[in-house]
Amino acid sequence: MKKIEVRDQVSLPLRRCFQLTVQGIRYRLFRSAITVVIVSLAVAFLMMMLSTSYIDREVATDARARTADRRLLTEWADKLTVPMTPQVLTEKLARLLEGGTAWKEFAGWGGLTDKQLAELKAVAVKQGQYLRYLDSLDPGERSAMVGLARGEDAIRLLNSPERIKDLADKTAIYGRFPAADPHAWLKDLVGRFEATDEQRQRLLAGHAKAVASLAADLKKGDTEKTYLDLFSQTGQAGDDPVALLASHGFLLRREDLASLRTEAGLALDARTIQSLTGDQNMRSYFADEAGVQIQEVTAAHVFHNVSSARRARRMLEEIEKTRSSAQAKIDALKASLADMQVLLAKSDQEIAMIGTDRKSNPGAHSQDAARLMGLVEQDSIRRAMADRLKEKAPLIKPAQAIDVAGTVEGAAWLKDQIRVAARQLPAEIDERVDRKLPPTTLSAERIAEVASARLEQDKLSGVLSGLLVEEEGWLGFGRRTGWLILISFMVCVVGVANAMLMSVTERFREIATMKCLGALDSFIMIIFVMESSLQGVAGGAIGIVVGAVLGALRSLWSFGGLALTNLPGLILLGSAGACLVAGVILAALAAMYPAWVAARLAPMEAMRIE
Amino acid sequence: MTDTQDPNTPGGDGGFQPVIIRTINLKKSYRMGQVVTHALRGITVEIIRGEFLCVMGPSGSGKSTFFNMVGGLDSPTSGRVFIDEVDVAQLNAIELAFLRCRKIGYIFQSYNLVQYMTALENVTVPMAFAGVTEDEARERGMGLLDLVGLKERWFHKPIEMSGGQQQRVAIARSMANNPQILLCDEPTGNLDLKTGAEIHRIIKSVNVDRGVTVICATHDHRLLDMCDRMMWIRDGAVQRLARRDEVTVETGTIGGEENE
Repeated sequence: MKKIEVRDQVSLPLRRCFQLTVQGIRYRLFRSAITVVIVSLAVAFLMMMLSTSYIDREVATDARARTADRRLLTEWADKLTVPMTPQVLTEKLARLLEGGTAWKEFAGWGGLTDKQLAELKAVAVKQGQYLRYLDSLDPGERSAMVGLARGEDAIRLLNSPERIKDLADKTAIYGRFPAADPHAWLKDLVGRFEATDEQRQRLLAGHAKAVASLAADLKKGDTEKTYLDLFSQTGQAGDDPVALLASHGFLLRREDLASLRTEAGLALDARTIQSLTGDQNMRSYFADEAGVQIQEVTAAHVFHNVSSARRARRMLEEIEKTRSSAQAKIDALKASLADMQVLLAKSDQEIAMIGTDRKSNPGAHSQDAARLMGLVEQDSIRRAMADRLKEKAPLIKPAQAIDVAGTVEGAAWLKDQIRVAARQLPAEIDERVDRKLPPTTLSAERIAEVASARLEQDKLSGVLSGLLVEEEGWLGFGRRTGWLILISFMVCVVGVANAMLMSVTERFREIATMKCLGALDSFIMIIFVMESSLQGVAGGAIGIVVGAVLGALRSLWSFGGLALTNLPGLILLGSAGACLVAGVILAALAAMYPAWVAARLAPMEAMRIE
Repeated sequence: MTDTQDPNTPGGDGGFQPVIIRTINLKKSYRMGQVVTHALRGITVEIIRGEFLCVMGPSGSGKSTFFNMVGGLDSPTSGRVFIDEVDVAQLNAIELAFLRCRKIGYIFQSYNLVQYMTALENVTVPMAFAGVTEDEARERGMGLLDLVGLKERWFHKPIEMSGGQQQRVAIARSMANNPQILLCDEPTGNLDLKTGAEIHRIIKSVNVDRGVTVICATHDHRLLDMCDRMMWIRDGAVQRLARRDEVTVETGTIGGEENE
């Protein structure tokens, strides 16, 4: 027998703790599954939000790059055809790059030196700050400060020192003003704005003049041209758009010309294709094809219809059919006009003779008789005859024209009617010639190409306008999404803590026995946190897969193939790792309190008998 | 209570202190709201090394509280517990764990085996806590299972064993680190007579062969027959403490029909 001596208890190595934990989990698989599911739900939500957010960003970048050429054309269209408004000018000035093309253009139009332009830019930047400040106010505060004035007017109304002082005082009430000394700041802004006002007006006038002179230049020559023709027809002899534009003060970079040419060509051809809906027959063709009402046909229907070469060819055939039937009608009208003129050249007696000849010899077919019979084809003559014969217009037969012409008096009456009709016919023929579809110079392949390009561009624009990639917020989430994720995590923590607490309660006797057998508090703590962390790993892994799949499906649903070509693999892998870590930390955190409860359990609980 | 000092101390050799557990005026009270319950009202007792002490008392007598104090599972409100002259109150949590792990073995009425472990794993848990290597633990564990006659069933889980077998595993586990004190809390309370006898035999053999001091709470009269001394607790105080030979006749006359 030896004397009892008491030393410090050794602590169990982590490997043994791990083994014991895994054994425990395997014994209580169902309870563990609950924890795993809770963690996986929260992680799946986070992962889904992360993956959609990243895919959204990639898609937006891609879509922006793919629509860059179209936006370039739109920009030039605005620049070349619409005089700038003061507001647009301010925005452009604020973003002006010193020494860039726009800088040079502005200098040219306004006749400004670099120093003056730099000052204009500085004023515009300051003006932007001021306007943004006004926009940040709520409507009541705003109207108290500047009334209903918007844009430049909000500066122009500060036309006296008293008003500036007044406004500066009010900013003190509402706060958030971008400068420390509102009064000096505003005074500076107003002073410099007024000093540069004349230069701005000169710039605006210069641009307007350039727009007007370019338009006049394009009108010259045999055919009227637009800026689209200007870009698309480059390469033809003598036409250099860069030089032409430069002569009006527009500086086009030569490297932009190629994309502008392609885009302008597309725009022109698309306009041609779209104009087909102006024809009644083609419109109903497209309506039938798309299965919509004739008045509902839009450009999108047309482009959809001809986006493949095969269908474009069918459409071209339809155009030919329409053209030939229109031509046939025109030819018929011209023939009857000629017939009428022949009849008008004859005297009343001669016409009456045709009638009597026909009566005496009904079988004989003279050319003149046929001409007389053809007259009922003309609506005005048919109606007049119906009046004369007291019959209904649709019932009038061609032969009745000969009967009417049988007397001299009748022939004279008929000639009057012919004269009226012949006077109206040329106008109708002209109108039909006008309305006739022009021949299509576009090949079926080109039509399909233009249509699919246009459809894709429209889709991309739709995607871009639907994508609200928020610049603010955390990890690309909006504030709302961030809150949702935070709340989901909090719910998850509570859920896991609850499950672990139940597990602890359930295992009171086991824990107490362990302590009787010499387990340290730290050991108990470790096995519970470890158990929860392992469940966190499992839940995290499941959640990552579920979340990524859901996120990818959502992106696929809203962007189609664009989402697949823009999968940011590495970033998604990184977020998957982050999600896993988040899940484990979450589970471990949630287990802290239950583990602490377990560790503090008195060992004498083992003696208790339920 | 000077007569607790038994002159016939078993194993009282040489320079060793014959008293292994000494309690001095042990008191424990629980406060439940406004009411203060006195579970122990001052127990002074000495337990001698190597003896087999049976503790008896009706439920609520403070028997369990006394057990917890002696086993180092709970701390008294006042008074002291010395285990081999070491004041339990002076020990910190880690030293207490050491004490519970290596010096005291526990046997519970409801066995308290870890349900997801095999018999051998259950036996080796205290060894793991004591830092014994796995190989050595396995060897010693098998030896202990052999001692309780369950060597062939080492891979069985508690649910696959009868109550008696479970309690035998529990005894093997309590012996894992060669403790000097064995605390038994109604070890046969959940067992039938025949199985109970087998458990009694093992506990007694541990007491005799290994010289382990056994403190046993029980109502089983057959166990009373085996013990060296008996202690009755009533209302948180020692009602009577006596050697077995002093009470055998009494027990025999009262519970004669139970004695075979």
